[in-house]
Amino acid sequence: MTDPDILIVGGGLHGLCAALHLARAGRRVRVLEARQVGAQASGYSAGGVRTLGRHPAEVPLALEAIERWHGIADLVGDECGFRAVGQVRVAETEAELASLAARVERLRAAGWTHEELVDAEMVRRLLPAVAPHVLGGIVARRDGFASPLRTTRAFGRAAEAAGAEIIEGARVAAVERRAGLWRLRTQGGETHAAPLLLNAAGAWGGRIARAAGETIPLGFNAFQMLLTEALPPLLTPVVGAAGRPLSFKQSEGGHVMIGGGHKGQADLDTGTVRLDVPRLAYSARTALDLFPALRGARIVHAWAGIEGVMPDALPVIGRSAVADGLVHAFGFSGHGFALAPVIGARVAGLLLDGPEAPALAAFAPDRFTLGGPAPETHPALLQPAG
Amino acid sequence: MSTTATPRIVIVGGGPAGRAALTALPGAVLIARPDATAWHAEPGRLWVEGGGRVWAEPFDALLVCADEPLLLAALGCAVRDGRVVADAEGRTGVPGVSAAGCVAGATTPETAERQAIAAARALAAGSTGPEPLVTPPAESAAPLRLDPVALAALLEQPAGSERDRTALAQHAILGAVVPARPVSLAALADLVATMPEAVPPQADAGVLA
Repeated sequence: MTDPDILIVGGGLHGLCAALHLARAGRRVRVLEARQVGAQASGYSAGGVRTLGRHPAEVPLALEAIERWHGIADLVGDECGFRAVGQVRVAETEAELASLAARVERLRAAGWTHEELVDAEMVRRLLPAVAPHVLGGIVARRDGFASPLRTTRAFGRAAEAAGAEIIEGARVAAVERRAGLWRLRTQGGETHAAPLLLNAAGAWGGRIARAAGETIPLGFNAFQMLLTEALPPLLTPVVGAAGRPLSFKQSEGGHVMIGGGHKGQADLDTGTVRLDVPRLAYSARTALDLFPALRGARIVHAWAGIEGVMPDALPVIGRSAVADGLVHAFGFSGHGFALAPVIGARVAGLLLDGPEAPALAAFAPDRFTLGGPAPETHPALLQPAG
Repeated sequence: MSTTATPRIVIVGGGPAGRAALTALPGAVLIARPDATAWHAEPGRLWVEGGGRVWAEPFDALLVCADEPLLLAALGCAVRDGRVVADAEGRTGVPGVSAAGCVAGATTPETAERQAIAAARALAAGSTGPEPLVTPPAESAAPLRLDPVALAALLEQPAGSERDRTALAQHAILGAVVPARPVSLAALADLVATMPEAVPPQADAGVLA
């Protein structure tokens, strides 16, 4: 490739989706990935495709994204393992059920009807194996899940087919803006330059931003997941809980995935994670409490991916407040997978001098330096990672 | 980690090597299948399942005499051609972690016993590995990373050299492949009764380097 028009730092789902849209718009795009495509959160996610329980600021994006998921093969030429099995959030107490009912009412008042309050009988029709103490829940029937690594690779292939260049093993070590160009030096000593830069570096996005002169309060988590051995069919929809972190689903092969937000310890310098066994154990307990049929199951795999998280659990999406030609898209706080098909298009629009979209205002990079994020009166439900 | 003056030594494996090591280290704790299965290890702590429960076995020194390369790899031990790299006294290069027997390359029970006795005597003498080995070339990485479900499908296969070799090739890409052996979901769930206290995100003040 001749000199690129746009450099993208991060070969995860959001970076690759933006690369796809930019390349299809005729731009020369180069993606610099420190390790391999999907090496961190994008490849380790639980793969939830969820409109259910979203923060109101994310609801419009999530609703737009779910439409794209239902035609994902049209976008990237691969079904991405997407299964529209629905998502259910169950209530274990009357207080939780009341909270879910109030949320559905608030959404309806705002014109959103994708979440449906259901009673215990309907929950049991959707989830025959659920524990008898479950009192009801909410359902988003068009939601589902997909295969994260397959999805990320599909976006990568589609971006390359459109002309984007993806360089793996290119860890960015220095960033500077000079003579109208972003100049990035990698650990290997190579230099890449372009007028435009997209920071899609996930948990490392705060470091890229700081190097560009912008302080964004990004932290990080190592969200832990468990997988059982292959089991007979136990459930079809993805399940969450209103009162405790849980993301629970069964793959086509029968493996039951248990995640939701319990954390291990990560090291950003090495990219390594250390699992926290007692917290893994509590994930197992939650799953067992809700699905007693799991009592005889065995755990065959446990892992964690490193995800950037913001203090308000909302992503950073927007033009830099301090630097020309820089757009950020990171900090998805454990629930960005489902949004990717939309975020890539929006980010591409920002890089191609599109107008600032009002729908992105809540995600502004400078929202913590301009008096803090907007007060939120209708927060999200507990956000399960993935 | 124990705070007593006497190091707490844990031996994994009930075969010829493990039994020989226990004879040389009579105060050590023996973890041997089928009564107790070591399914995960982290610095200073071995995670064990047995009798329908899961527990942590703390150690100052760990001597693995069972064919469990994933357990040792999780502790950071170097693995080459499916075997853990160890010196003549079983030291792996990770302080406090030793290996003997098949996992360290022994091909006969007699060799395994000799290795175990040498490693046990080194531990009894207080030699827990202050002199790290030169790190050998890493295990060859797999050409393509497996996604978690595919890795789970691999790990649910019976433990054996072929399974372990494939898993170790993933280890070279991903880091520790956990658990080294399947563990009961119910026994793991019984480890905690209440939701752990929420912890805030980790902070990052790091810079590009």
